[in-house]
This record gives sequence, C-alpha cells and structure tokens, in this order.
Amino acid sequence: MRILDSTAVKRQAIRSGRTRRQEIRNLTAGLLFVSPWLIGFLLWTIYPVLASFYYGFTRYDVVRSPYFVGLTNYTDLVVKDTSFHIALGNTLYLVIIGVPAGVVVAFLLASILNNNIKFRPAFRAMFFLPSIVPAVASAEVWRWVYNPRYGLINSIVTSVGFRAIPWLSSPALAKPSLIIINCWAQGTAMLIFLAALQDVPRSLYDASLVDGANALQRFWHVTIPMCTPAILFVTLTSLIGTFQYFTLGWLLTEGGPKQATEFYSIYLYRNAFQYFKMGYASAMAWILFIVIVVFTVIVFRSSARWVYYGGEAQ
Amino acid sequence: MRVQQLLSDERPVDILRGKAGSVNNLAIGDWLRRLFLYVVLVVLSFAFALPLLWMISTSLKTDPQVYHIPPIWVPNPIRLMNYPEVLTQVPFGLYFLNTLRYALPSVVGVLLSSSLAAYGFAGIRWRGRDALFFIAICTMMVPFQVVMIPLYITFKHLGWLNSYKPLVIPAFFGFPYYIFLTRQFFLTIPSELSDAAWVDGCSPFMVYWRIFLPLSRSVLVVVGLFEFMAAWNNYLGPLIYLNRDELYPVALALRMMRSTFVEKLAWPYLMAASTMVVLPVILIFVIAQGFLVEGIALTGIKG
Amino acid sequence: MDTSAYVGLDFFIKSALEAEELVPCPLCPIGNFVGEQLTNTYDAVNYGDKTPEQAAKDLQDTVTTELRTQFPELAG
Repeated sequence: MRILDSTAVKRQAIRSGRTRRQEIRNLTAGLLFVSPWLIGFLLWTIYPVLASFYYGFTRYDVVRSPYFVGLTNYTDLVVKDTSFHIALGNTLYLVIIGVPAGVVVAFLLASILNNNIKFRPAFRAMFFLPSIVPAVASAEVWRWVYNPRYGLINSIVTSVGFRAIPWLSSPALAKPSLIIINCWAQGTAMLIFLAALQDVPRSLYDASLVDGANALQRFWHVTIPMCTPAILFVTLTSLIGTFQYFTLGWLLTEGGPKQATEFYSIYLYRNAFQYFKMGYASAMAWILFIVIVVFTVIVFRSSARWVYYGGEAQ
Repeated sequence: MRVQQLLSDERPVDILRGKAGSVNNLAIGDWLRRLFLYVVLVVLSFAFALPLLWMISTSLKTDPQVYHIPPIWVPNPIRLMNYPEVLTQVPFGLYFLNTLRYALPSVVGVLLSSSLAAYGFAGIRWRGRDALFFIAICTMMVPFQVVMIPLYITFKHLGWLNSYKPLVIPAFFGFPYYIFLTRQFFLTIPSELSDAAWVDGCSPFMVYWRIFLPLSRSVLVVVGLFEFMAAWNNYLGPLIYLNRDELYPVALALRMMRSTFVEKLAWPYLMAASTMVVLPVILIFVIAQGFLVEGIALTGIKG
Repeated sequence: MDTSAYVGLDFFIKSALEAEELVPCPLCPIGNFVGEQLTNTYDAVNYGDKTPEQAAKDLQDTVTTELRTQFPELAG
C-alpha cells in the first residue's frame, strides 16, 4: 500500500512539474506552428461557411446588397424548381452507379497488377496516367473519341456496318459515357488499392490454401475483407468528390442533351455565376453539404459491419 | 517419395497442393496462367492508353485524314507543322507562363504551410492537438461549392478578382489534405531525435528547421508534385476568379481554343494543343514516378 | 461592291457607311436565364416532349415569373 502511495505521489509530482512550465510551453509552441492553418481555417473555411449559410436566406445578386427572404430559397428549390430535382437526380445517379463502378474498376486493376509480373512499373504507369491528365485535355480527347461520326468508337462501329452510337448527344447515354471516362481515370484509387493488397499477410493465403480454397474463393474471402479499410477510404473520398462533379460535365456537354448531364454542381454554378442568384446558389450549396454529410455518415456507420481492421482474425 | 519431399525444404502447403514434385504440370499450368495474365495486362494497357494515343495521332494529321472512315492510325505524311502553327495562332506561351505564375507560388505556399502545421500536429505534444487535427480533417468534407460564393464575394470586395491572388494566397495558409500527408510522415520520425534536441536546449522552431525538414524531403517532394499537378489541372478556380483572356491559364485557354479553331485543321490543332497541355504533367510523372506512387500509398495505408 | 446578289444587302451596306451613332440596346438582366430556358425549350421540342406552342407558352411563363421575382420593378 505504501509503495503504491509513494509511486502515485511521484507520478503526480512529475505530472504537475510538467504541467506548469513544459506543457504551457508546448501549448504555445504547438499553437504557433499551427497558427497559419488556424488563421486560414477561420478565414477561408469558417467565415465562408457561415456567410453562405446567411446568404442562403437572402436574395443577393452581387450588385445590390443582400435582401432577407427567409426560407423562400429553400422552399423554392425543394418544391418548385424542376431543374433542381433534375440536377439532384443526375448527381445521385452518378454517385450510386459511378462510385461503385470506379471502386470496382480500380480494385480489379490493382488485383491484376498485384501478381508477380515483370515491367510492373510500366503497366502501372499506363493505368495511372489517365488520372493525371488535365480534365480539360481529357474532355477534348474524349469529345473526339465519342464523336458520333468520326470519333474513334463510332468510326469503327460504322465501318463494320452498325449504326453509330450517339454517346454524348443522347440523353440516355450521356451519363454512362461520363461514368466510362471516370472509370478510365481511376489511377489514384488503383494505387491505394495496390498498396493495400500488398499489405495482405501471406499467411492468410497459405491458410486458405490448406483449407482447399481456389483462386476465386481466396479473392472473395481473404483479399477483399483484408482490404476493406482501403475500400472504405476510397469510397468515402470518391463519394465526396462525385457529389461535387463539375469539370467534365461542364466541358463535354454543358448540362447535356435535355439536361441529362445537368449535375448539382453545374446547376449551382449556373445559378451563382450566370443568373447571379447568389442567395439561391448558397441555399443549394448548403443542401449539398447536408446531403454529403448524411451519405458520409451512412457509409461510415455501415462500415462497422463490413470493415475488418488489421489484427482481427478472419 | 513423400518422405523425401517432407525432408526437403519445400513448404508444407506446396506439398499439400501437390505442386512439389509434379514439375511438368506445374510448369505448363503456371506458364499458361502467366501468359494469360500478360495478355490481359497488355490489352488493358492498350485500351487505357487508346484515347491518349488517338489524341497524339490526330494531332499529326491533316484535315481530310481526320474524317477518314475507317480511322487512320498513323497518318502519312506526319504533319509536325501542326504544333508550331498552333503556337503561332494562339499565344500558348503566355498561357503556359500564366499557369506557372500561380502554380509555382502555390507550391511554395503549400510546402511552407503544410510542414509548419504538420509539425505542430505531430512534433509537439500539447492539449487539444488531436481534437484540432480531427477538425482539420473534417473540413475536407465541406464541398467547395459552399465556400465558393462567399469567397468570390470577399475577393470581389478586396479587388482580388482578375489576379492570381485568390489562387495563391490560400495555399500559404494550408490545405488539410497536404497537412494530413505531412503529419502522417512526421509521425514516423522517432521522438528521440526531437527529445534529444529539446534536452540540448533547442527551441521547437530549431527542431523543426534543423531536424524535421531535412528528413522529410520525400514527403515534401510528393506534396509539391501533387499541388503542382492540382494547380495545373485546376479549372473551376480560375474559371470563377479570372475573366480576362490574357490571364487565362492553360486549362481555360484550351477550352477557349475550342471556339478559336473553327476552320480547317480544327481538330488536329485542338489535339495538338491538348497534347501540349498534357505533356508537362506526363513528364513530371515519368521523372517522379516513385515519389508519386509512394505518396498516394501513404494516404491509403494510414488513412 | 456588287450588292445585287442578295435582296436587301444594299440597305445594310449603305447604313454602315452612313450611320454615325451606336446605341446598344438595354441588356436583359436575366439574359442568361432566358438563354438557358431557350435551350431547354429547343430540347423539349426536338425530343418530342412538347408541342412547339406548348413549349413557347411555358417559356414565356417561366421567364415572366423569373423576371417578376428577381426584378419586380421591371416587370411592371
């Protein structure tokens, strides 16, 4: 008892010795180093977030000062604005179909690269390159590839005798065309998966072989579960990014045939910088924020059920 | 034969699999599988590279060749003149310089701010450090659209529109993504180094400057490369902050060229311009492939 | 210059030589909105969703409502 007492007293003494001088010094030093970020955080994140929340309740074209209108923006959006519904639907389509497609493509590519092959850096480079091509350039290239008469795909298709496929000019095919381009540019996700795949312990594979698993079963029961943290990370970042999808949709189709590619971000840009309805656009931005948070929380909550963190027995 | 195999240093699993000893079956089955793998890889690589190859191929064509069905792959003759002609028709050099004019300062800004903030989050122990870092990470979830409008209005009142300031100055305050990357790296630097320095009486800044920075060359290169490529590819930012043609970076300029090149040779010129826009990024990638791959792996593993 | 090729070309050539003032017409404050709605109208008619008369009527209604909400002092 006495020994415990004295060690406890010693611990208190050490801690209080640290608290006074050392911890205050550490606190000031830490805050000092973090201060550029902190100031930036207040200026470029907190202030705009609060400001746009305020603007969401006003009518504001930049020329005249903001004019308070209460919830009108939000009610107009949700109830009356058909373009808003179309935009939200288009973006949800992209998220629900495009994000899983991209993740699957990236994972499959990484799995293929994970084998023992020569020239792996070369192949890896070929798959990664499309993702660093500037969006503008890839928009021009794909616009040419998808050209209904002379494009790469259609010229081959028509020379064989079929009818040309109207990739970007048909409302039905416009979004799938964009999803294809998205899957083409999955390089960064592929690299993350490659790193995760190489971290899967060999012992698990060997154990499954002893149990008589064939290649497909090994893939499904060992590889994928061990990579679920990486899959979660890629899915979350993909989700957040896809909700803000702008560049390719704008450059290729500018809202698209019959508003088929009028994505949320594009309609927001239109309202803000073409119609100069800043208040309306701010309300849209906040709805987007809430939607993203909801989806992120849903994915994160569900992750407790399907993500295995390292160290857990399979 | 089994006993002999067991006494050899074959792995038990291989023996159970029946591979050990059955050399012929092993060789052919394995060889076929590897051939199949290489075929798949080559086909896929070709498919992925196809749009880019098509871009280069079109940029070397003359006008009638562009519209030929079935498509011509290697134009004959190869019209290299397309490239100089694009450079003269459109002030491409100016657009290149413009892009550099905001990309390079923002790289410098990001390097400074991320390393400072990451050291604050990783190298010193203070109360509330991890909570604040968590908040920093959460800001990555805020869509750009939410901050875009007030930022635009603020910059308008400040008179910063039509300059590169809105694109460069925020970089000097730090972006959470790069702070995250750098911090993960700093966490791997053993604390004995900084502890020893503190015992010797170094201020935290000296520790940062003399110990952490020199050690983190690789992660700083990664952060710098990422930011440069992000700045090079950035479209929405310049779109809303810049209005005058002379200020356009390469991304906006390429979009503008779509309407400039309307007469003959439109598509070859456009593809030549696209190739020139893509080239620097590809060069950077080829040179720094190792760094880039390592950096991306860093985000995935620790994230 | 030979202006007999097109009927009425004469008038434009002469006015370019004679005109002394340039008066820009007042900009429509919701011009971009009108442009976008016009594109939607064309699309609706081209894809057979609406008859041209219906589409034109919808366009007029949408644009007038927008003008009234944004600029009540102009709508009159």
